[in-house]
Amino acid sequence: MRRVSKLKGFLDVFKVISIINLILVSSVVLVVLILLITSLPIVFRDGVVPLTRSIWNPVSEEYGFLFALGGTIVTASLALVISLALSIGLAVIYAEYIPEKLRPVVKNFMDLAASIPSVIYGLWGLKVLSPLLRSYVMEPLVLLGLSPYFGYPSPTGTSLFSAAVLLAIMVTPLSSSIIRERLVSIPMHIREALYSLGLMKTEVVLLELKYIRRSILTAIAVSYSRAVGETAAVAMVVGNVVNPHFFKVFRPGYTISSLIADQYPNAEAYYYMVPALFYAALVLFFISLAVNFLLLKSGERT
Amino acid sequence: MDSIIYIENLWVNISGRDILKGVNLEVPRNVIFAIMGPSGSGKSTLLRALNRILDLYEGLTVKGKIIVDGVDVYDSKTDPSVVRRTVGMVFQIPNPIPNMSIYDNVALGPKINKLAKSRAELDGLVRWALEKAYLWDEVKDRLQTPASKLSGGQQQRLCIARALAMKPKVLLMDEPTSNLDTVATTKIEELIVELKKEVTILIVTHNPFQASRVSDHVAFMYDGQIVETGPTGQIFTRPRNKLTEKYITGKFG
Amino acid sequence: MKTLLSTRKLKSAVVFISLLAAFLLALLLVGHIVATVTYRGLAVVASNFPRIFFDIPAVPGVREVGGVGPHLLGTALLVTIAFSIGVPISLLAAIFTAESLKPWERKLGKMTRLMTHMLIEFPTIVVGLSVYGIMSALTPYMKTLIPGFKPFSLLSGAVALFLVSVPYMYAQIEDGLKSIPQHVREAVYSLGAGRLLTSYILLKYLKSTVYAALSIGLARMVSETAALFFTAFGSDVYPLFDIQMLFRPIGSLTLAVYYFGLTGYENWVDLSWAASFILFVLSLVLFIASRLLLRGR
Repeated sequence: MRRVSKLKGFLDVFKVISIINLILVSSVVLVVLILLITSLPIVFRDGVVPLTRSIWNPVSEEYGFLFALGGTIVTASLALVISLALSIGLAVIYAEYIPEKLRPVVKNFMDLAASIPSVIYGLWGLKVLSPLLRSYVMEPLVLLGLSPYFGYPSPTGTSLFSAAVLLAIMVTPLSSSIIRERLVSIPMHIREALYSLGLMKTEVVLLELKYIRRSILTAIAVSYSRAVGETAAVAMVVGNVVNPHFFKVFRPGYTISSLIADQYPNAEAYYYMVPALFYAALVLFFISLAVNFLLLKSGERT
Repeated sequence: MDSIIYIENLWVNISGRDILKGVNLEVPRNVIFAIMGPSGSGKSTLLRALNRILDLYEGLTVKGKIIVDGVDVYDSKTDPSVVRRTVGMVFQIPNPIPNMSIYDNVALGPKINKLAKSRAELDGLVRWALEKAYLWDEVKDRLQTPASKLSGGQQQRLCIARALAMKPKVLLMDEPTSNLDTVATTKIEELIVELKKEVTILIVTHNPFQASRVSDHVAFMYDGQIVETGPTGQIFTRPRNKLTEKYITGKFG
Repeated sequence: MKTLLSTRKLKSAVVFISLLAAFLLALLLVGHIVATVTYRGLAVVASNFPRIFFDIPAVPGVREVGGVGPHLLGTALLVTIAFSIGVPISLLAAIFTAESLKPWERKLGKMTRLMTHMLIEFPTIVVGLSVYGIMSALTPYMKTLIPGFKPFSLLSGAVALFLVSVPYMYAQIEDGLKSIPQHVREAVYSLGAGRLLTSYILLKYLKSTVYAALSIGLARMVSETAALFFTAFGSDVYPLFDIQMLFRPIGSLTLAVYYFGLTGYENWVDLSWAASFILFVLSLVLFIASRLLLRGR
C-alpha cells in the first residue's frame, strides 16, 4: 500500500489537470492584455481624444471614433426599446392567453429563432428588412417632414435604424424567454389574490409585469449586452459610413463592431490604425463589461 | 479487546465551526455499534470522518487520530480511496445512481476496486451481495432495470448490497431508515442484525429505540463529544450520565 | 361609476391589442426569416445540386453560381480542430472545478469559472481581434520555426472558435456536475473511487446533459462569424492539403454568407442565400439534437 501511495504522489492527476484550468484562466487574461498592449501607441499619442471626436482619416493618421461609439449606443438603445415591446407582447400572450397546448410550439419556435446564426439575420436584414423599412417606414416619415430629425435614407435602406430594428428582432427570442419563464412561474396564490380584487385580466397582467420587474431588468441587460457586441448582422445592414450625426438614424453609419469588421482588412497599411481599432475594441469590451456588471448586481438582489 | 476502530482525540472544524471536540472511541470487531444523539451533535460528521468523505467539505481541518483496521486514516501518506475500500457506507437518503441498472449499481464497487477477475465472478459477487441484502428474490428477474424503478426500501437495501459487494470490513450507516416507512424499517433492522456475521457495523441514529433494538454497543453523543459509551443493555438500564438518561427516556430537549 | 368602468374596459382593450400585435409581429418576423432563407436558399441549392457542395464560387456577374465547396470544407476543418481540442479541455476543466478539494484547487476552480464566464460576455469580434493580436505578436518567432506562419490562418480561426465556445461547454458541464446531489457524489466516493473515476461515473450519469452541452458548443462554432474575420480571414479556393494548410487563410460558410451577401452581383447573392440555407439546416439539426437530448432530463 505504501507503494500505491508513493505512486499517487508522482501522478496526482488533478495537478496535471490544473494546468488546463491555468491555461484557460490565463488565456482570458491574455485576450484582455493584448487589447491593452496593442492599443497603447494611440493611447499615448492621443489619450482620450479618439473617444470625443468623429474623424477617420488614415492618410493623416487621425482617428476619432465617437461616430461609432454613438452608433453603437444609439442602435443598441433603440433596439432595446423595440425588443422590449416585442418581448413583453410575446411573453404575456404566451403565458396568459394562448391555450396550453400551443405553448410548446411557440416556445420551440422562438428558441429555434435564437439558434439561427446571426449572419443569416444579417443577410435577411440587408436584402429584405432594409428595403421594407425604407419603403414603409422611413420614406413616409420623411414625407411627413421628419427628415430634419431622422435624416434621409440611403437607396438600399441600410441605416442605423435598420440595424436597430434587426438587432431588436435578434435579441427578442432570448429576452422574451427570460420574461416568459418568470411569468409562467408566478405562484398561483398571487394570481388568485390579484383576481380576487375584481381586476380585469389585462389589469392583472400589468400588475404581474410590475411584480416581475427584476426579470424584465435582466432581460434588458442581456439584450443590451448582446446588441452592443453583435457584429456580422449589424455590419451587413448599418451601411458602414462615417456618420458624425449618429442621431439621424435613417442615415447609414457605423457601430464600433462594424467599424472593426469593415476597416480591419486595410488597417495594416497604416501605423496607428491597428492601435486605433484595438482601442475601439477595448472601449466595446468595457461597455459590455459594465452592462454585465449591472446584470450581476441586478441578479444578486433577486 | 480486539478493536477494529480507534479514535483518539478527534477534532473536526468545518469553515471555522468546531463540529467534533475531542472524540475518543473504540469499536470492537463484528459488533453492531450504534451512535445516537440529537441532531447537530456531530454523529454524521464522525461517521464521515472514518472514511474521509469529509474531505469533500470546504474549509475542513481535522486533528487527532483515527485507525481503521490498522490503517492510519489521516496520515498524509494514506490514500483516501484505499481507506474507503475497507469501509462501506450507507446513507440517510437511498442513493443508488438512478439511471444505472440494479446490477450495475451493485457491480460498481467491485468494478472500481477490480475485485472480480471475470464476468462470472462479478455475477457471483453481485448475487451474493443482493442475497445478503435480502433483495435477490425481489429483483433477480429484472437486474437490468434502472435502480430508480425500485421502492424506497428496496433502494436502501440495494445501497446496502452495493456497499457489501466491496467486501468491506466496516459498514457505516448514516440513519439508514430515517426516510423509510415502518415496514421497510423493520426489514432493514432485521437485515442489520443478520449482517453482523460479515462486517462490523457502525450505525448512526437519532432514534434511541432503534439503537436499543439493533445494537450491541452504544455511544451517546452530544455537542461534538461522546458523553457515554458501553454495552447496550447497560446503557439503557443503568446510564451513568444524566444527559444520557434524559435522552433514552425521551425527555430530551 | 359607469364611465369609470368603460374607461377601464377601453384601456384594457388597448393594452390587449398592443400585446397581441407585438406577439404576432414577433412571430411573423421570425417566420419570415425562416421562410425566406428556406425559399431563396433551397431554390439555389436545388437547381445546383449537388455541385453547390463541391464547386468553388463562379466568377461574379455570370449566370452560374458555382458552389461553396471550399467554405463547407473550411467550416468542417475549423470546427473539427476547435471541437476536438475544446471537448477534452472543457470536460477536464469542468471536472477540476467541480471536484476540487484542496484550498488552492478550489481557488483555481472559482477563478476558472469567473474568467470563462467573463469570456462568454466578450463580444466575439473582440475575441477574434485579440487572437489576431496574439498571432501577429507570435509571427516573428514562429516564422523561424515554420516559414509560412501567418496570423490569418486556419489555426487562428480554430483558436478563435475554441475561445468562443469552450466557455459554454465548460459552464454547462460544470453546472451539470454541480447539480448532482451531494449524497450521490458521496456514494460514489465511498466505494473507493478516486476523483477522476468518480467524475467519469458521474458524467456517465449526466450523459444527456453532456451531449447537449457539446452540441450547443458545436452549434456556436458552426454559426460564428465575427470571430473569424481576422483569424480564418476567408478564402474561396480549396486549400492545398499539406501541413502548411494550418497556416494559410481558410473560408467558412458564415464568411461566405457575409462576403457574397454584401456584393452587388446577383449570382453571388444567390450563393449567399444558398450558404445561409445550408448553415440554417446545420444549426437546425444541432438545435433539434440538443432539444431531444435535454428532453430526457
